[in-house]
Amino acid sequence: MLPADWRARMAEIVRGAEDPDASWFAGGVVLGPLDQIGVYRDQYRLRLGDAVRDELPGFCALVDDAERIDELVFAYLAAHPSQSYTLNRIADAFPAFLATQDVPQAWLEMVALDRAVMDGFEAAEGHTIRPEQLATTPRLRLQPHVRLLRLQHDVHRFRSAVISDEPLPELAEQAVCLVVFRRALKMRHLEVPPSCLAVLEAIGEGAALGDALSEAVAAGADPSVLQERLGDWFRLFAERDLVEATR
Amino acid sequence: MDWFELLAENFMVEGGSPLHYLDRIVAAYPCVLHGVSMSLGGDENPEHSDQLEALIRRVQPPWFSDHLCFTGSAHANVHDLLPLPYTDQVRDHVVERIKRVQDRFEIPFAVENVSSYLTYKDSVVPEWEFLADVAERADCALLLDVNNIFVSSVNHGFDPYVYLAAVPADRVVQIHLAGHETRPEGYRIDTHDHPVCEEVWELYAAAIRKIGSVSTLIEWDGQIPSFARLQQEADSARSVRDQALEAARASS
Repeated sequence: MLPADWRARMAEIVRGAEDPDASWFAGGVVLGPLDQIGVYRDQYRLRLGDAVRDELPGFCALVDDAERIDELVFAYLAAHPSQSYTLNRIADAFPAFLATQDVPQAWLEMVALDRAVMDGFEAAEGHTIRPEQLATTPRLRLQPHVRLLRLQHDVHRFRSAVISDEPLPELAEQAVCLVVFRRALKMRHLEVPPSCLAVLEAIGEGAALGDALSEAVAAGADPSVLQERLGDWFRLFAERDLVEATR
Repeated sequence: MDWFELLAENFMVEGGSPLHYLDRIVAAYPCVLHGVSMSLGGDENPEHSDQLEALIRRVQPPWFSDHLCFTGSAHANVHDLLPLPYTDQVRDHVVERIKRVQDRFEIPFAVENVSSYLTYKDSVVPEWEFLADVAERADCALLLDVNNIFVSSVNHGFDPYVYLAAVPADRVVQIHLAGHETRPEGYRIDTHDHPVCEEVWELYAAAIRKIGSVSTLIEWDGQIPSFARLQQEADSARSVRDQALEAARASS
């Protein structure tokens, strides 16, 4: 069997965590032993660097400094080698990694938004619920593609401009409650009032409807706003396909 | 287009756009699955196997394929097709892995030769002997990548026609063609972003003369040109195949 420790050392060499042992490689007519393994080391940096950056389009545009982005991306890859069979999951731990770095709050928020969009894009299909079914559905849950974000900057406007290749706006510092969701195969986002987001968060945590409202109030939602707007919000949840019935 | 090859890992997802389009393509065309993450030289990843099984059930391809390589370790997947040392020990490990794959999925499994940029001092046989030996012992099919043979032949200084002569023709169920790039240092790299070069067309013709008519796919997944240009490349493959078959008939 190909020894596991030999494979592990090869992987470390390819990802640049260990120096290559020239005695392993035969060299050839075109490349010497170290140049041979160097091809794979170069390809690793190109392929995985590109893969991480591709998963973080908003973050890369916001930082707008190729050297700083590479510094963070390769520090991330060094600390979090891929353990997945797919490159689609390559940036999963990037938000947690970035939170350990001395970076602006807006960068953390943009990364959270990038990840929310990428996660939702390939999430499972839930079961659509019609508005008239809401009244008879005791317990809801969020659709698998829905992500909820509380932001301190309007990074969603900036990211939308990046994706649609429009002039980039100045980032504004403002509280934003954002629902990121998928509809007709495309990822979208919706700004909602804080009380509305609190209700969705409680639903997302598995609360029954009555409990979800209580939890939203406990989390700071204004009861009078809830009473006035709740019907509209639940129609919105159904229309935008944000929730489904639990089974 | 006669058929499509689907990169398996791109569709090992829960839902959304990838599966939406997958179902439509599968409904309209014959499709085979081609993976890049089985890492036959390494250990099985149970999550990968489960996802692949679900995808095979969904697509119901006539065969599926992956590469004769390893992709890293349990600690670090480097997401590359790393060549194996061609030793008896490695051969036995790969053969066992392939047998388990065939037992589990119960449809034909084809192993593809990779392009490579390094050779190991530990190797005791050339790649073509190793490939043929693995195929025989595992009783598996082969996906012959003609461009990979050519790229490796330049990088390692062997005769690609010697490689081709050693391939067990009756095991080849599919051929890959692709374009590659020549780097300033002189080595070739498999980039899938160029037209097929003349030397590879000639090697393909020789492969068809040896193997006969076999499903052929052009891999062009970088700097992807217009669909018309892709179709033109597929038409070239058909033309080379037809001429090679005619030549084989005339000489027999």
